[in-house]
Amino acid sequence: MSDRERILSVIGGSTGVALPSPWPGPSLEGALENRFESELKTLGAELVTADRLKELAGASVFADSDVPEPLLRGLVRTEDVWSADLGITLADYGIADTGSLLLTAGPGRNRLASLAPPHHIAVLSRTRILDTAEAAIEVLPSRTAVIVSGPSRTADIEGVIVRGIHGPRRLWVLLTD
Amino acid sequence: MAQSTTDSVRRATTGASNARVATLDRTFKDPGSARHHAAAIKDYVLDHLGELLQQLEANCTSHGIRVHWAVDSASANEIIVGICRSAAPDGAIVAKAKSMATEEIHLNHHLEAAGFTPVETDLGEFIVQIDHDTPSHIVAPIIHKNRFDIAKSFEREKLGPYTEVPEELAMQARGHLRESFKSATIGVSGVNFAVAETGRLVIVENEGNNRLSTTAPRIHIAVMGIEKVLPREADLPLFLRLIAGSATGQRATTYMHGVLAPRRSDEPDGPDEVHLVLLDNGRSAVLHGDYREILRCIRCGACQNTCPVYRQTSGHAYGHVYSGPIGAVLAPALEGITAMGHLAKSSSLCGACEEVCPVQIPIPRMLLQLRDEAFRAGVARDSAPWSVYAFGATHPSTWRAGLKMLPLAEATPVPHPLKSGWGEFRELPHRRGRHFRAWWADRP
Repeated sequence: MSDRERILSVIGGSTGVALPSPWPGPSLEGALENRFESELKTLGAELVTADRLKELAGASVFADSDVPEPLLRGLVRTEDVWSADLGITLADYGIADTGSLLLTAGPGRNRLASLAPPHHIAVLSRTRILDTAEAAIEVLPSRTAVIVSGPSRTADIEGVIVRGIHGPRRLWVLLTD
Repeated sequence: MAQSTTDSVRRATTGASNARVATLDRTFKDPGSARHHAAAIKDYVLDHLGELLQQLEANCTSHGIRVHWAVDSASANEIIVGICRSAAPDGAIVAKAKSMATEEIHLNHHLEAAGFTPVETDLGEFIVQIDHDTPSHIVAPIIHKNRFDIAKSFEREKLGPYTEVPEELAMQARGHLRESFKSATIGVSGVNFAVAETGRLVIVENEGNNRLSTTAPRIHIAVMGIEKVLPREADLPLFLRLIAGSATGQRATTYMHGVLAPRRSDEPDGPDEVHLVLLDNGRSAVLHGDYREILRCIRCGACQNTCPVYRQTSGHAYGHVYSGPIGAVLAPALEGITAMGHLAKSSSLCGACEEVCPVQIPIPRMLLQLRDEAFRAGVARDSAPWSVYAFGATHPSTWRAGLKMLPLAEATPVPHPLKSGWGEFRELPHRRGRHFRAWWADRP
């Protein structure tokens, strides 16, 4: 008997326990953009305007192919994601409740762009801020995806929070119309 | 100021417990009903486990994820080593993300025996590995170490100039582990939730090492206990909120990685192969016994953080991969009363573990039952002084005779037997007035 058959035979059939409907999740009050911004701040991330990118002039950048060209002015494009100072990607959705971003793998979308460089900038359309994780899961595409809530962190050493342990230390979100 | 292990553990567990309460109160109008809802979904999963696993298998397979079934740890290790051998040369680096399932099967040991080089990439697990130690907590593996211990280890391993600053230590580890991510052929991770209706494997983490381990290497192997399956994607938000809040007091973990498939032809990066190993290792048998609800566990560690025994002893005292209240039930449930039944005594039965459990596992009821089973099986009998006490307390005439002797014992200038060990720092109660029984009998 294969392991599969052995495991399934020990598990056996069901007795008809009913499946509860999914948990409805909270409902948010107030403007989603304001909530999104304050939650981002709590996480140690920042909402920025395109102007802020000028500070980064000369930095090497690894960018998704669909990031608007004007945003990359003054930056030096690199094809080596491991050595890039900056990773710029699009975000599919924002989640106001937790200040999170939904990023999806796909054509022109590098999974490592939001992960390997020490600074990640996500470009998000302000029309795509959802209220909760419940709403985000509903629109989760049939692709590998990640929900990002703030910069990479660890609290393994005496509970002290250190940012940027393996992923980006800095996370900026750039809202577009 | 140096801290002892006990101080480190007590401070970390207390902090995590407080953060848990604050976050869950903010996240849920009624945390109790959310936990009840999660428990009901888990009970559905346990009842329909066979169907859900087959649905998961079919959906994973349709996206190109290869599914393997492992009846026990030997079988799981054989499968994983087999995949490594087919794809990577001898000595190849296997980037490992933190996973209790791989701890449970002692995967690193088997990978090393087969000639591979497993590298733990979670900061805590990395420190455990370079120290040849074992993790002492489900979520915070080095809760028993302080920054000075870690500074010495990093100096010994020549990871950089000596420092005791957590930020600098973390950056030394970052630099060192980057090379492993870049050169690893294989990445191994656990799975927090697997969605049957879509075949999505969900992994939550804060550091990003899990995403790196499952994105950069050519092959990703995910190892998952069979009870981790969830019916629908719509069930994810509740469990994501509960695990983040219960484990670390966060409203959302930094990363929720939802792996649906290997790299598709139109995607620029990601692993070419994804393997899912479904690990039974005793779980299917637990399903049919009195400890079935222990399989609801989502491995958040909240019961460890709140347990007065765990806070005092830390995880290593349990002598098992799973420690704290969850370990005291899970270890004997998976490995048998004879091997692990003694752990049922490592509890004060105060009930705090059940109170904090995000899926309402009745741990105290289980511990009590395990004690009974262990006693009947002749495991972990009471030590001699407690046996004497137990005999007296259950035989009224002996008890009465003992009480009569008490003034004599108090007047005797010999060291009291209870004044050593446990009793060294405790005051014995002083006898005042008459015996209760005499007073009761004389009452008008």
